[in-house]
Amino acid sequence: MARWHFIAVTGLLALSTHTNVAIGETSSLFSASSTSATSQFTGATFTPKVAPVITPTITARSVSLAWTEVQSAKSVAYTVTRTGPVGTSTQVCTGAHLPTVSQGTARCTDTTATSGVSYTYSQQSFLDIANSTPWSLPASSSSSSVSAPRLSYIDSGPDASSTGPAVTVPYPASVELGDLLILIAICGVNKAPATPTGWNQIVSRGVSGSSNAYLLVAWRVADGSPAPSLDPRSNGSGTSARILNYGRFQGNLANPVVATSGVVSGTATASATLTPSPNVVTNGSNATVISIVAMSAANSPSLSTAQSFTQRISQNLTPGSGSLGLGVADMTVATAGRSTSSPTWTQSGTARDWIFATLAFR
Amino acid sequence: MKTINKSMFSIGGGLLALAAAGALTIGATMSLFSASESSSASAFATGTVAVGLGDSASVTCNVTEMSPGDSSTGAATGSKSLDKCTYNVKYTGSLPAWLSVDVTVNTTGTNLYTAGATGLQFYVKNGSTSIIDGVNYKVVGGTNTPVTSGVAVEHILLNDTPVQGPNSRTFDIDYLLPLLAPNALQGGATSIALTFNAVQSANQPIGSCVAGRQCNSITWS
Repeated sequence: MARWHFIAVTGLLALSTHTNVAIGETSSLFSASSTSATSQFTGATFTPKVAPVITPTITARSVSLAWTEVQSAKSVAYTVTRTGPVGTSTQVCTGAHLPTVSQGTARCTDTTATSGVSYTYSQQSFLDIANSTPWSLPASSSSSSVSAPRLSYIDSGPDASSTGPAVTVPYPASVELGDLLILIAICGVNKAPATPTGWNQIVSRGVSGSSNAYLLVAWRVADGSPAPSLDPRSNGSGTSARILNYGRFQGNLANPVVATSGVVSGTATASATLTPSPNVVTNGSNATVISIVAMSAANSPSLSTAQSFTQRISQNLTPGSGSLGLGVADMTVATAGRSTSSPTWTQSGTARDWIFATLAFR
Repeated sequence: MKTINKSMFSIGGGLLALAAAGALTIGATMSLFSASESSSASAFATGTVAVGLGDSASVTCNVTEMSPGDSSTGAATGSKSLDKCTYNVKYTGSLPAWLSVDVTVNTTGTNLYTAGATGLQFYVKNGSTSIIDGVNYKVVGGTNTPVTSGVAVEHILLNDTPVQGPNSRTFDIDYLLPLLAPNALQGGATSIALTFNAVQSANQPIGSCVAGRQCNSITWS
């Protein structure tokens, strides 16, 4: 019996020892496990992935900027940077001028650019989340360079046609104090209309031949004076008159002045095309050169060779018994003393004698 | 010697033949008086350790286009506007068991999770027991330790005393992308998965393990 007890105890000890060791090393305990599905988390991105380049456009008083909208999960905002001479950078489109987005295009206006200075623009898109570290795209490449003129064509007032004895020529609605106003009157007879008080006559030219016509051009700085009253002196042939507004670019506080020592004007015999001669030479930087043509015909003159001019008016008018044609185009000339190649105008229909004028202001 | 051997074989053969004949006779025709008794059957059956689906469906998240400040309803800060993820499971075994959970944070490409304060934060809880708080879990001694992406955090103990089934467990996974998440996390991706473990508690003392902390002194499989 004593021997039997010993064996039993030994067996229990052996079993116990084996169990403990086995749990740590080799045994298969009763166990089970279950793994969840995997939850995924992904950070926001931008579309497109490369920041769109800004397209700057010189407008009458400021620089308009536009670029393709950038989209993301949250509202996207933009930092717009203007780079000027020697790399000076300024943040623009801030405060009340923050970019807005419409139909896939972001836009804003640089209201602090100075005329006559070359600028490039870039933008950086970022998630508009308050108090966050901005998630952004790398800044866009620089835009093309732009330089604003001191004066820019804004618009023309409505045509005022009359057979006399007086016609009030309305101002364009866009006029602001200090703008350059140019009065153009075309008469159906070779007879000068009276220059309104307060206006500076700069061209007064008539033509007789296959047709009779007269071109009067006068200018002034907008100062709040009432719209001018013009005596056409053209009787039944009628006179057509209008006022063009060349607005001063933002920050340009200088009153407009004539920017050439030789205003060009003249007449030419009837021909399908005309290139006014001689070319005008500016005497100040960043000047605006204006080419005006007129004729007594049912024709609308238009640019056939623009020479960097932008056509503003191409119109046929019938103020009285006859028809009158008017063409206006302009361009900015950055460098003083440069001879500007005149554009070539063409008449539709039967050619008539030309009257032309080339002016420069800054 | 050969003769003696032959004689012994003959006697032996006769006895065997007689015995055989008798046996055949009893099997065929005799009814002897006899009795027997069997003990009642002893039954042996194992207990079970098993896990199954929870009482309600789990919620697997697929949160896209996260931006700084986005968070789920139960997150510490942020928008608290997104749905949390849940993992519902149940211990269904009959044996007393220890329960634990493994947490695996993974990524492909840019990681939204940085193991730091400005990367994606996870708040994994089982009831009041915190499993992951931001980026940290607790080791057995209670020290906060960051979860490393791609390395499973194993065996966060869920119970201080053994439990028997059914015992339902709901794991809430809340999350937050902090406002100060750096721009470099743009487009990053991270995933999280939990593994619910149960193991018999018999012969496995809890030792120094505490619920809510990693417990590697228990053998889990």
